[in-house]
Order: sequence, then structure tokens, then C-alpha cells
Amino acid sequence: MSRSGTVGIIANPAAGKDIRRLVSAASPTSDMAKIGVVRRALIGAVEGGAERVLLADDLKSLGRQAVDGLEQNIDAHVEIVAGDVVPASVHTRRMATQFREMGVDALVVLGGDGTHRDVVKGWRDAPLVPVSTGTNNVFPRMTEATVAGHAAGVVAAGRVELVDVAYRAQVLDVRGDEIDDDLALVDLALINGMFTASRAVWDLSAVRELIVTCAEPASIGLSSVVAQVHPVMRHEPGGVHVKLGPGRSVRAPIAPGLYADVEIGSVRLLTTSSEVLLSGPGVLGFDGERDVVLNEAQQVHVTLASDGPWVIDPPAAMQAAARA
Amino acid sequence: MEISNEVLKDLHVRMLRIRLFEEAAGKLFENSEMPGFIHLYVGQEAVAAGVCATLREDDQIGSTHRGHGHLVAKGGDLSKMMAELMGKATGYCNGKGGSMHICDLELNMLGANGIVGAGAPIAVGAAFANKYRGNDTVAVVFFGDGATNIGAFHEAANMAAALKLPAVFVCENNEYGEYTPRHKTMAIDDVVDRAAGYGMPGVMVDGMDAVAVYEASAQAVQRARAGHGPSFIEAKTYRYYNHHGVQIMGFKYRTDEELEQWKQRDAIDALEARMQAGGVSSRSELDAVRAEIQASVDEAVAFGKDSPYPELDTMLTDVYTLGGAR
Repeated sequence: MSRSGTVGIIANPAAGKDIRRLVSAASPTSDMAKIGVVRRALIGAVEGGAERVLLADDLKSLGRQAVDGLEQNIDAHVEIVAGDVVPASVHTRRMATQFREMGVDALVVLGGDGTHRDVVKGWRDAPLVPVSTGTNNVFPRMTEATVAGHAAGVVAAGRVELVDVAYRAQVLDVRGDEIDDDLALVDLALINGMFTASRAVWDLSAVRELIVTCAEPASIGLSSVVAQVHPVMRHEPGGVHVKLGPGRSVRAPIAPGLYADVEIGSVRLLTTSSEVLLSGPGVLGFDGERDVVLNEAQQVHVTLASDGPWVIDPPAAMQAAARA
Repeated sequence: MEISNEVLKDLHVRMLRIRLFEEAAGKLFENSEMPGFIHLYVGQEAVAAGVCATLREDDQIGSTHRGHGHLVAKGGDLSKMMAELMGKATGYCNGKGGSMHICDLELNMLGANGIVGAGAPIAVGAAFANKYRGNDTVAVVFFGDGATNIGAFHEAANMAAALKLPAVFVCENNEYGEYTPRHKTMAIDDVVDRAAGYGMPGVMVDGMDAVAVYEASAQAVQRARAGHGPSFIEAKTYRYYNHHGVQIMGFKYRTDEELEQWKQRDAIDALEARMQAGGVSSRSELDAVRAEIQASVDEAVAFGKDSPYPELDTMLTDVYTLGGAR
């Protein structure tokens, strides 16, 4: 097979180890498991037709270990791209930007919703195959990494057209005084409290408001709450803003094996460019993780945007390649 | 989970008591006013404070060679501690235990331990006793990353999981075993990856965030108390001072930049900043708390200095006992 194009692989070494191992029935994901996932994505990308594969040298060198442990020859140029030693989220964001600048045609991202959020913060319209290695993820799905890598390979090699095998994800842009511009891919929550602490959100009684880009009934996490009153599939335009409080009672799976009863006070449908104002005090939860603390009277503007990443569908990409 | 202002103030006080006690102990050690070795806990305060704030007085804790912080966080008497570190007769162990064997069975602190990994079987023994007696007391064991490479730790963790004992394993991963970086002694980065091998849930938390540690510990302790068995918490943390003592040894085993990066995330500074921003305490209130704790530390130092050494004729007293365990 003639090869062309470049696939980039970014893996989050921290995924699959947070407090949801204690507060829900979530399974752990070891680094050894992740190294295997990266290795399979690499092999798949080359088999899909990529001539060059870049692996982000994450803080634990999962990429390097994946390559070191290869027991087969790889018929492609494989490069480990080093980054600065910075917090994992910043590292992921910078790596995504660097990969765009290095001419990557398609990304394979291995991690949870939070990892994908960091990638999109660094490369907003990235063409990517999202692979879940985390816990209750909505944006990335449970996909075999070999297939995910292969799908990225066929896109990078130009064997299929991106627009035929991908959809454009929506994004919630978050802007406000005293905070850096930020975004959420699936859901943004305003939560009572003043600490990000162990980050995961599992106590729904503390959640005041939820804004989502999609709300699929088959998803697990905060967006599943909204899905009970107004389902929005990931391909559909528009979002939803709900305020929790006395009103309609729903029961939703907010983490693996963990259901919660919630009351929804109000529901507002959002269209592209719709804006929502959230006011502190409280903590902003981005894609299920508490990340930004709002002080008293501090406000943020949240805007629904339609110019997010191109999300490649592995079955669609491989089917198109097989039929081409 | 909701974190009340009282909990925040409690975490702050526990951390500050450790920090100021340890800083004072370090000065005494440097001035040769303290015999033996001391392994300072400075930098890791959020772990001991976050965990101990979730415990009842009857819950037991097992400790390490870096154990002062654990005893302080469990409510240890600073004067008796300082006297013990100085080898004085008024200390917790009448001056014969010193830094690495300090304990307070009244507070159910089962003792610091000079042997790496040796705290685990002791705490698991306590957990076994709790289950055997049918009470709902929980035993927590603190240990470092290096301890998980030791056989005794493995046996203890395996037994706790197999017998579903009310235990919580708290790994303080400070990235170094004495002067050896973690990556030279284990092929994994996250010690928590080992938890699954024992069949217990494991969680990784930021050990420089007392509230994060508190949240994880509260869940793990609740599980243990309810009879659901042990949990494993890996807290990523860092020691500011040397493996032992204060000054850098004659060789460089870590960079100044690395140390500085961890200090930027200091747990006490971070909590104080949040408490002020959230209107929990004003700067002057926090300063008053600090002054009060500093006064009790000064008092402890004076108490230690003024106390006598053990008399020669007590040399064998408290060393051997005919009685059984409590």
C-alpha cells in the first residue's frame, strides 16, 4: 500500500484513576493497559495508510513505552514528540497545538471527556478519533484502539474524505473576567462549593445548573440528567440549559453503576450562538470535572458554538475505505 | 460532598500544626539539640491532615519513619512529641523511642516505624482485631511509594483484601525512596495501579490538596466502616526537606526547579488563599491561628529543652514487658 499523511496520537496518563473508583462502580485503568491501547492505535494507524505517526511524549512516556515494547516492524516513520514538563492538562493542550503545526492530518485521542476538552483547547477544529480510556465518557466512545488508529490512518492517507466520515461537534465557549477563555465539549455545570478538590462530580444535590451540547439517553454522566427531559443526539444542532430545583423528578446514571434522583426546575433550549450567564459563587464543572472556582458575584458567559472538532466515526471511515 | 467551613478550618489547623512543629524540630536538629535522625513531613501536610480529619478518635493509624505529621494530625500533644524527639523523660515514650518510634496508643496512633513497609501489617492487624471484635473502627496505614516494593506491604494488602478488613491504605507518593527516584525502583508511575492486583478499589488524588484528600478518605473510611473492605488511596505529594534532616546532602539527587515547582502548589498556601477568597477566614484570622499554633510549638520546644533526660536506672524500664497487647 502506498502511504501518505500523518496521524498524531495523544494519550492521557491520568485517566481512569479518580475518586469514581470509590463513589461508583467505575473500573480502574492501569498505565499498562493504556500503553497497550497506544500501541494498538499506532499499529492500526499504519495499517490504515499513514506514512508518519507522531506520538505525544506524555508525562509518563506512555507513547515511548508503547514503541519500545513493539514486537513487530512498523512500516512508517514513527516519532516521539517531546513537550515541556507542565501539568497534564496544559501538556495535552500544547501537544495538540504542536501536532497541528507539525502537519498532522488526523488525531487519535485516548482519554476521557477531560482529555478531549484539553485537545480541543489546543486545536479547536482538530479531525480526531476519540477513544475512551476513562470512566463515564460521552465525547469519546468505547472503541477498540486498533480500529480507531486504522480509521485515523485512512483519513490521514486521504483514502476517504473527512466530511464523509465525520461530524462537526459543538462546543460551549466559556468567557469571563478573571478566568482564561475556556470550553466544554459535552456539559458545563455550576456547582455549590468553593473547591475543585477531587474534581469528579457525583453529588447531584450540589449542582445548580447544567448546560449541554448533547444529551443522549444512552450516555452516562451529567448530560444523562438532561437526556431524561430533552434528548439531543450528538449529531444534532442545539443544546439545552437546565436549572435544577423543585419541578420534574428524573433518575439518571451519573457514573458507572451510580444512579441519582434529580429534580429539574426549568429547561431552556439553546441554538447556535445562544448565550447563558452563570454567576458565582460556585465551581464550574467542565465535562464532569470541577475545574474553575467562581467567587461571589463573579460571572461567566457561556456560548453554544458549532465550530468544534471534526469527530471521525471509525465504522464509517473503515466502511468507506473498504468500498472505495 | 459538602465541605463545611468547620472542616476547612480543621484542615488548616491540622496542617499548620504539622508545618510549624516540623520547622521547629528541624531547627533543633540542625543545632544539634536533637539526637538521632528526624525525617521531616513538611510538604506532605495535606495527606495526614486530609485523612485524619475523616477519622474518629477510636480509629487507628499506622505510620512510617516520616511519622511526626501523622501523630500531629491525629491530635498528638506537641510538648510530649518534642520532648520525645529530644530524648527526654517527659516524652511520649519516656525519651526512649525518639522520632521513629513515637506513638500514642490513647489516640490510637500505633507508632512511627523505622522499617519501611512495616506499618502495613501492624495496621492490618488492628483492622483484623476490629473485625474480630465486631466494632466499626477503621485502621488506616500511611506508607510511601517505596514501601509498596516491600514484601510485608504485599502480604498486608493481600490479607486485608482477602479478609475484607476495615482498612484504608494511604500511599504518600513523594517520588523518592530516600534519595532514589521512584522510576528507578518500579516500572509503573502510579502506585495505585497495584490496587487492582489485590482486589481493592484504588483512587489517585492530588496530595497537595487537603480537600481532595479529605473527599477521597471520607469515601474510603465510610466503605471500610460499612464492612465493604479496604481501599487504596495514592496521594501525589512531595517532601520539601531532605530524606532525613534539613540540609541537602553532599550530592544532588533532585533539582531546585523541581522543588520550587512543588512549593508553588503548597497545600497550606492554597487552602489559605481559598479560605480568604471564599470568605471563610480573613487574613488576620488566619494569622491569629498561626500565631496561636506557633506559641504552642514554642511552648513545646521550651518544654523539651527544660525536661530531664531519663535516669540511668530506668534504662531497662519500658523496654521489656510481660503484659499482652492492649
